Amino acid sequence: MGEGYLHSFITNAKLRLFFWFTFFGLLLVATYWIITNFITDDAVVLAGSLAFAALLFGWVFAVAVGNAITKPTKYIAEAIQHVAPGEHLVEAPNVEELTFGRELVSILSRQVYSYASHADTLRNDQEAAVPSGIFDQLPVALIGLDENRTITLANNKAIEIAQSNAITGLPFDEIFGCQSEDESFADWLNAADQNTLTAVKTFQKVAVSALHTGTLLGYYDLAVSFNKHSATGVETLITLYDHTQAYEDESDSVGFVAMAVHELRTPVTILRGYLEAFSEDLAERNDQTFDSYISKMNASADGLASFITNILNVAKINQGQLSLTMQEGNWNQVLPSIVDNLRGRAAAAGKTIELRMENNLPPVAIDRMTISEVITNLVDNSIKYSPNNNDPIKIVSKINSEGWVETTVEDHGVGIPEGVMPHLFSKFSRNHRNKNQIGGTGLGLYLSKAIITAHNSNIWASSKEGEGSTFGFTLVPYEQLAKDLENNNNENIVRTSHGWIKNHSMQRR
Amino acid sequence: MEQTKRVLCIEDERFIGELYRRSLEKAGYTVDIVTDGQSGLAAVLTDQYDFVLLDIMIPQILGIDILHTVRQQKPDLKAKIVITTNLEQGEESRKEIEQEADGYLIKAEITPSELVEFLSQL
Repeated sequence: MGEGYLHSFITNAKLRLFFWFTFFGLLLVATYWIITNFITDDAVVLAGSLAFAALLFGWVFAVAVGNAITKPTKYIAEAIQHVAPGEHLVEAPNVEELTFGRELVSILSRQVYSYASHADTLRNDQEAAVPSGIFDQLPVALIGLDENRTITLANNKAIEIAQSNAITGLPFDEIFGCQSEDESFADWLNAADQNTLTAVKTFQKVAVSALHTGTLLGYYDLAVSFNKHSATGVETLITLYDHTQAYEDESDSVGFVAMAVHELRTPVTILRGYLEAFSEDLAERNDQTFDSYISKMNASADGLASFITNILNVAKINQGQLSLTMQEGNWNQVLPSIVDNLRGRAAAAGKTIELRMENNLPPVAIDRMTISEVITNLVDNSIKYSPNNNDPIKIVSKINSEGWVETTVEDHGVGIPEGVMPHLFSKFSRNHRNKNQIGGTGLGLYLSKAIITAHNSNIWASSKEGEGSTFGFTLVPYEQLAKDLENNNNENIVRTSHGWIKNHSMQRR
Repeated sequence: MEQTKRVLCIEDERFIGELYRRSLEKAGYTVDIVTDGQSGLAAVLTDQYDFVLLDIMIPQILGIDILHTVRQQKPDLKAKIVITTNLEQGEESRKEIEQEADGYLIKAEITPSELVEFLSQL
């Protein structure tokens, strides 16, 4: 109620005038009363009263004249605000209400409206310069979404790939399914909506499917432009480039690598088999020289077998085809068995491995085959990069402050220059200072990072040039993943470092 | 006295077959080797083995097809079937193998004595 009176007072000029006259009248009476009661000199009373009256009327006159002069300007401002694009906050001024300057305001207001209508024509002309039909001639699909992700624009190609006649006006998420290998398209759009006004991103190899028919349309590259306050009403513009053929060709390349790996593994299998036969038969002779030869050959064959597996896994990672079977693993048993397989390799290079583990580590969620490759790669690096140092390679496994199982591999070798550290886990990253002295492909750490990341864990490195390096990774306790595995029909299969066995004693009960 | 366990090795690489035979016989197994898919399938279906070592890339019938046929035609087969291969499977074939085989080994990553150890755990 009070607000209503206040509002009508502020907006009603007559009421306001009445208030001020009453207020100043009362002030005048009060002043007169004070002067007549406290000042006895009539001349002073008269002078004071006159001065006060003059002051009062002077102020009223100034307000009235000021209003009359500024009112036309206010009307013109209202006219400009009225024609401005966007929401109209003011109404068109009524020049008939003006007492002074009506003619001038009328002319200027008409001019404002004339300019505004001219600008509208120009804008419409510009829009007409790109006829809507031109989008339909594009060989790529173009889809525009509004802020609710409803499709507001779809060219012919987009309609064609959606396998539906009318997709405009429907939610994008109900028409197209988009699955990308890296950041999800939907996640990126959500993040952009919350954090930015404009953003642009391309997504490679997105599997796009038509949701109402459930068919995979193919593999597309998506270029997405997000503009929160777009003047056109289209907030997100998506361009879909069909690269299905190219990606299928790449996928075939994994098949080629798999076949090449198969052919390479056959002689390695035979080599390792006969080496074992030799070592068994020669064991009775107890000849240290022969033993040393055999152990070096075994180490080389093992290294070759690991390297061949690395090649295949890198091809798989590149094509997003590396898949893990996560199982419960007793790290107190798994790690020593992997390390034992590597002792021969270390011994052939004149090194030893020192393994220290906290007892009773919690069971971890691992894919045994690939986690074995991670440790093998880290130990191989430690052997390779400490050629002139015979300190043991230290492997330590313990529980960290977050309750995850942390394993580190430490050597006292040549270390890693600071400049190499940021690219350490990139493909083909090698230390250029010693790459002529130390062999390698630069795939091991790249692969290890991909495998550990696929385990939903972290891998890191710390090093000081000339003093050595430490590589570490964490593993998630099995309990954290147990719920996800409840419905997994592979639960009764346990991977070993070289294969898997059904109903093995290590199976989770 | 316990009967010796019989192993059927379906393997077209003669050297690998010989190496496996050597280690398995030393460990007390009786070993038969066949080098093609057709004879391999016929031998498995006789159901006189305790273990079948089945390579995938073999002539005439692929190992994976032998596995599939055996599981369909003889669901109560006595032998445990272990895939011994150097071929990494695609996701779909791997799932199929995981459902039908009792074990899976990459030959290049094990030695013959590790194979013997593997069979003893089955």
